[in-house]
Amino acid sequence: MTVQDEVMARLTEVFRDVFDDDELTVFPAMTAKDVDEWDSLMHITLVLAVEKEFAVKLNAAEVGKLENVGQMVELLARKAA
Amino acid sequence: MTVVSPVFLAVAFLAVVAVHALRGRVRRDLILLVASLGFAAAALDLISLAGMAVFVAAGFALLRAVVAVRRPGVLPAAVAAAVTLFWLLGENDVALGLPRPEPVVLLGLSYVMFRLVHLLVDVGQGELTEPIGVRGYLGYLLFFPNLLAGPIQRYEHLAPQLAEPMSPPTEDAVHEGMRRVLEGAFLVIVVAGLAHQGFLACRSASGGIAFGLAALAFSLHLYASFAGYMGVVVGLGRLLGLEIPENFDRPWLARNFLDFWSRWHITLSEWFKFYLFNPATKELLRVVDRPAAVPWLGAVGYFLTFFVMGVWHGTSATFVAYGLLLGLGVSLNKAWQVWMLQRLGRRGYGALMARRWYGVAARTLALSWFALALVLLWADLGVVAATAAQLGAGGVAEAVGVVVAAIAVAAGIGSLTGVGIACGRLEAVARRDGIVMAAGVAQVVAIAYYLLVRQGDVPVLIYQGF
Repeated sequence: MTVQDEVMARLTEVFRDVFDDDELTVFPAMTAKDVDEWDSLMHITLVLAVEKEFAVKLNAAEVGKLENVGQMVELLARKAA
Repeated sequence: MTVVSPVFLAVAFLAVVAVHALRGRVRRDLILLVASLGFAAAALDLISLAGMAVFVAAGFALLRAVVAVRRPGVLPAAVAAAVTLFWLLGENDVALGLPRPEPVVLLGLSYVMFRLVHLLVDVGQGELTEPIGVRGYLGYLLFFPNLLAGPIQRYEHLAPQLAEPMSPPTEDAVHEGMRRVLEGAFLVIVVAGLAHQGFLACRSASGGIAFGLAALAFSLHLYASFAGYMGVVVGLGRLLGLEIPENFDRPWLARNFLDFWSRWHITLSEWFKFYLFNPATKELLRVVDRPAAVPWLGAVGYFLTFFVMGVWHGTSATFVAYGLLLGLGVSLNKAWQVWMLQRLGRRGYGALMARRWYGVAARTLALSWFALALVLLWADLGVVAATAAQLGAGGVAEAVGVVVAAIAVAAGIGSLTGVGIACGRLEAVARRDGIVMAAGVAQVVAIAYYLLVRQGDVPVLIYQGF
């Protein structure tokens, strides 16, 4: 299991919890446009949950640009390394 | 100053010729820096130039301070200093020490401030790690296509492009660049010009209907003026071998008032999202930490963001009212979404949104709200109050009714499936080269007719003065 795979698995749990949907499948090409409820506000809830789960703090640019799961995984994998 | 004024066109023309003629010999970022400094010197009046120079120099000192002193508190202090200086220069005639017979507008200063705050935050938070020297700083901050009214292009998007060696132009890039410039000029000159004439005529007429028509004409003029400006800027970028971000995405297709802001003045909305909405809402949610309160805290975040965005236009009571209207619009929109979700559930709300009548109603409400709020950009609160008193309740209802009815009819027609298909076909036909050429010729003829025969004015884009 690569770091990315591990991040993806943990991220899936965070997404399911935040969007309150146990069947939500998370994939690298997924963006905010793919989930109806993923608006600017949900994004902040998601960011806070991600920060808590991965024990990281994201800066303004990172928070702003993370509307793409692939980028989020890369960033978290980099921070974990 | 407009993007079709001789100074802008001359600098743009010389810059395009120079980057291609000197390809491989002189770096593109240097050529464009010279062009940008030349444009600022030629385009700005003395007071704007002095204000800009003070602000840009102070900004560089702040940027250096943020890099040199890595301590908590330095970044917020630097951002606060930049915003305060911007406010002083824009609002206070004493700050420059120059006599000002009447309030003077400092051209383009807002957009320089937005770019500077982005640099300060992203350098201060370690997101931008490469050192930014004087040349890179000036080349980014004063990049002439984006100088007067944006777009607010991010440093990491523009700087690497500027640093790249210039490659030979492709036929597609030249074609597309010219097409965008011409289409933009047509919007700025003919469409905005005619809409502005209509606006002036309606504004001086009396009655509620005329007032409503003035509000519609002003909205059309503002869109044509701003979207046309963007067309020229994006097209010029293509001719310079650069990608400049779009600021508009068919705002008339907005599904609601929140969605509208991802289609209108996009780079400004993004900036406010990055540097105000996200951090403020994140802090609110972190401090309160109660899941049930999230939607309501979100509504507070939206309100705050749009209120500040409104006040950015100016701090007079009129712009405060404009900010309140924008803030009220987005927070009501959010509250409605939360309430509908609670009442109907995810499926039920989805089904409701898929209904045609609901879509038309939501779009009409969003666009009407915006068109009516924009009244405050052309009539101050005193004028609006006096007009309302003069019109009476019936006249005000007429004015609002005309705006809503016109937009509802347009939204209704636009929502018909047949119209969508016909527009799609028309667009496919228009993509064929011959038609694009014909459209281009028609635009040139219309511009020439408007300027030479009708001797029409080209309205100035008000955003460069905010």
